[in-house]
Amino acid sequence: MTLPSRLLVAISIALVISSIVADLYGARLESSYRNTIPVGPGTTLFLGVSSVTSSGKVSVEVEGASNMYYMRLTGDPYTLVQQFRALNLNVSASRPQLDLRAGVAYVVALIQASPAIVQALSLLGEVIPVVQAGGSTPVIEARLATGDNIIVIVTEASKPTVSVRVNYSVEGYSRLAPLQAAIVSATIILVVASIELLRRRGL
Amino acid sequence: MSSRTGGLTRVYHILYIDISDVLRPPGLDVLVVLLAMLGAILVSIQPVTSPIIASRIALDPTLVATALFLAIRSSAGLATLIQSGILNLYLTYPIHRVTVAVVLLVSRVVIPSALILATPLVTILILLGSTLYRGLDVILGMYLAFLFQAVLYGSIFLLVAVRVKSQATSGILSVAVYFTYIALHLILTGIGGAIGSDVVRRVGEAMYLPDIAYYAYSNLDYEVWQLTLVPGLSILVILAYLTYMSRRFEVL
Repeated sequence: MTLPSRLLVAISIALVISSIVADLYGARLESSYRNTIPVGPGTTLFLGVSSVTSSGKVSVEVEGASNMYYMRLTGDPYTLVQQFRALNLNVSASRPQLDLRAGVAYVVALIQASPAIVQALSLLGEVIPVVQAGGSTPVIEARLATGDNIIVIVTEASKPTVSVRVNYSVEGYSRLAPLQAAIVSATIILVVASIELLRRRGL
Repeated sequence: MSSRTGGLTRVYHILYIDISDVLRPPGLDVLVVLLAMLGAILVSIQPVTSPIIASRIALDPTLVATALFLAIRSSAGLATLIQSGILNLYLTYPIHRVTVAVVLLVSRVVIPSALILATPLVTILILLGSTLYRGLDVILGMYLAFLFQAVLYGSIFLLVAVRVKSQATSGILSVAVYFTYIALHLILTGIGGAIGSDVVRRVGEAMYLPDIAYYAYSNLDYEVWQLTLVPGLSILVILAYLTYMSRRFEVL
């Protein structure tokens, strides 16, 4: 077989196997995160949602907050938490929770309450206060491109515990189904076989 | 005119014979199946919607495998040509030594690197075509960055092979040089960040062109000279290899 034929056969084999693996263990288009965090007085709750490899729509519901802000940011939200530590603020950060199959990561941290937090964040972008109407649970919605983050900061809690619910749905993603991949692979192999046959017959 | 055509025919013959040797089955075939599969699986286990990230995820492991392939097939393979006297035969052709050296560079470094790196990209483009088709220019740019990096490794390996002329030694030395280069890149980047030296950090980062191409496409912080370090180093190493082949190289 000629070199292009060999490479095409290799691609068609890889295509079938990878599409089967992707179908069994591949990407999911939905992800959710729920957590209830005890927020004492003098503590600020920091929540970061980061679209690591995907892009999509995020909605964040926070229950038990009386004063909170949000902002959009590019970069790594976990690095931001570490930078608060550099400002001598007492930070107890949980490890970032990565949902690899949805391409999204969540970071929750408790930071010693300080006006420096909102001031520091306002240097990085617009910090938007969340208005709560009639005691209803506020919902923050945003579209995130790959590498974008949404940061929610609860500076004052109305309850001893704050509940966060995050729903993330991936947008703009599609891939070949195993059947489609098998058809493409079979077509490639058929074309390669025909070319090789014609070549060997000297046509 | 006929002499020129004859010269080109001889160059083509050497190129054809040498490519057939470097890319002979089944080594290349098994490698590209595994790499194309690995790249496609890595890209499809997460919903990658960014062409920059998709090309990086597919090509980062491919570049490691390409470097090892170049160390074994190109560097150690060239040393075998020297030891077996085949290179001596090539040099008896009425072609300039530099031309033979350029042909060996193309057949042992540029073409294998281009093919091995392209295979996973073609696979992910078929698999995720509807997601990635908008970023074909970005994917091409990332591919070229990885190709330049592979050409740098390959040209260093060829220089090692023509200098040491031993199959085992050139293979081992090439792998050692590759890992030393990667370690140096990581050390300089880490130390530069730790001591706060922007120049050291940027030099460390610039040693790996795909990183800088990624920064450039992602609008992250980089400087234009960082894009030129790897191509510049490649040109220097290729010039050293051609000079050595034309002036100092002696067959066994």
